[in-house]
Amino acid sequence: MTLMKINCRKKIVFSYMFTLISFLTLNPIVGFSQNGADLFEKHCRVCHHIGEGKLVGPDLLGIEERRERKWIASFIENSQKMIQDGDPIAVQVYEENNKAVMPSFTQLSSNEISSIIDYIKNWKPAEEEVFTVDINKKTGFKHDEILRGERLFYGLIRLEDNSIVNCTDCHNTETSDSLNWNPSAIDLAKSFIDINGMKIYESMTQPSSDLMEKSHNFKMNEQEIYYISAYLSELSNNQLEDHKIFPIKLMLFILFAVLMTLALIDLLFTRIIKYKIIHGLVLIIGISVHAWLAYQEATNLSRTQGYAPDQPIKFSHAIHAGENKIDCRYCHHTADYSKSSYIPSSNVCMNCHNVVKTGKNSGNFEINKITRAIDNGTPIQWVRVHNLPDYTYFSHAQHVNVGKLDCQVCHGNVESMHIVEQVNDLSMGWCINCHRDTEVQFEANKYYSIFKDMESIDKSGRHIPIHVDDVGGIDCMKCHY
Amino acid sequence: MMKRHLLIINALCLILALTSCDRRRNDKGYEYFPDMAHSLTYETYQYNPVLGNGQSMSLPAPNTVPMEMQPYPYDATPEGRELAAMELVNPHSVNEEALIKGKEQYTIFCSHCHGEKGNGDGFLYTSGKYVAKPASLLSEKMKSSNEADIYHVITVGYQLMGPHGHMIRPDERWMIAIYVKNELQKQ
Repeated sequence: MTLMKINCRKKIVFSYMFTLISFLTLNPIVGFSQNGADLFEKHCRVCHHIGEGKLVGPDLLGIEERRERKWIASFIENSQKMIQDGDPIAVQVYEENNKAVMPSFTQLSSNEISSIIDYIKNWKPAEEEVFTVDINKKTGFKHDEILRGERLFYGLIRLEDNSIVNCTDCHNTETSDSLNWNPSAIDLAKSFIDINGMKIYESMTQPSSDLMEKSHNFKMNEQEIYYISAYLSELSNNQLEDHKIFPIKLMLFILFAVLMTLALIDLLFTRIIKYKIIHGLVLIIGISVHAWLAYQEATNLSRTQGYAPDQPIKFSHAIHAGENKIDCRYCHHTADYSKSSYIPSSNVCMNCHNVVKTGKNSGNFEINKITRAIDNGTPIQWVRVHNLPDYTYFSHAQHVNVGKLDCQVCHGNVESMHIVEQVNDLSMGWCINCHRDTEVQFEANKYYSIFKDMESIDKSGRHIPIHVDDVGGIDCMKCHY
Repeated sequence: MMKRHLLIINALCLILALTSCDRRRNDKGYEYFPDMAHSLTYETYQYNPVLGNGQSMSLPAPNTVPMEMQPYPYDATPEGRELAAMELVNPHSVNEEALIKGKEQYTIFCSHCHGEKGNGDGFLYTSGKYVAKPASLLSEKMKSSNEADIYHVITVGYQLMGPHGHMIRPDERWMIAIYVKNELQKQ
């Protein structure tokens, strides 16, 4: 009993001392500078670099030597006030930087501001490490290096820190029905092989996003990373393999074919089952299932309903249009006056992604693809989802501008899709039905104003709306010419 | 005799069935006589094996000007902005139609950063996705600037804001400027 008590007290004293020591030693050093780095990343990085040159604002390398600490602190807090008060250095800085207004940071405490200044003061360029292997090598690996990399990649051999990691658990090598936010193995390989692409040693040792840091909880040494890069360079020639699916329709077809054969054999020859109604039922159900399947398949010919291809970038409309509430026409801005609605070029992405560098689900891997496309001058080859045959004329301008239709009428609720899917079958019947049911909108619409008079011709005093088919909307030559 | 017929029919059905159904989402399915369904000429966004850069939609040849293109001589510098604000003249007058169009275009292109009211509290900023505070259009500086100044900033961008000249047509840029000046700033 007493022994336990003493033990207990010892434990308490020990833990107390431990917290005290850690408070005294660790916190001011590690905690503080970490805080400064985070704060700098969050508030300053958008406009300032350290040691990499001027961005919107000036480079902050050695700012402590150039300006007084007190001056920096008050400039961070409210630069505009200093300029208005006529501080000569502040006015000079303002003039030198094209009169770019630095936002005020009154929400930061003086401690936080000084931790930011400390971070800038103590910032040092990363030291050049010496490697035993060539970490920048992208091609020309030996065969046995590639094989060893493959084994490491599939988790067949242990890493040096004794853990077994199968990269393909997260980085898929097959396509999938759902969206895997992690880059696929092929994606990794393609971005590795690119000239401006991923620097594998850097990204493995210093994960660029929380997401990656959480999942990469193992340590690889440079030799292992070298082997992995050997395998990636080999993998970059491959494509994702098709995943296996269970062929439900096919199984249904075979099942009923077998059942019907058995029923017929029994009906004509063996005669085990007495009641002929059972044979009849099996045959009727079987034939109708077969007919239904045949009908389905025949109508689906040349139609691509449900087509939801993987795109070169995992761009999610659910996040951009749904969560962030960006209007469809911000990116697809020619929808109201052009035949085709615009597929945004990379610089439209850059309107926001010059600041937003990390995505919610994919870290910075997918966003880096845009910057890389711009650096390389290669366009991003998006895969077309909605496509009408060439013999059908379709104009977005006519439907969006004159018809005043919402995008969702034809494209479905794209703002809730992570992968865009063709919701409607885009068949001729579907077009015609819509043209029969849709009323012509005369409000703020000069295009059809001559048909407005038709609306008022009315014998029983009832309001008869004008539909699209009344103004020639189902004439053959409207779409086929 | 009957049995053999049945077998043949079933085998035929099986062959038919094996060649169809059950698509993956990456799979487009089958086509039946796709005569004239695919364009022989290259379409706008299609990969083009003939042109060097692989793009069907190409830039105009060097030293040529596309039809109806209005050259824009002011660059994205403070001097260019001042010059544009002085020299450009708004061809549109303030009327109901311009304000409605301006509001519509403002909602599409500007409001997610600059906010519905123009005070810089757009949804992208308030939701914390975009960390840099967008400029308020109701500041003294903006109130003292003219429509041409706003037109210029939309066209070539300013600081972190990218150029939107290639996204919004000139007339609509003017109408946005009219809307900002005559409705947002007067509230």
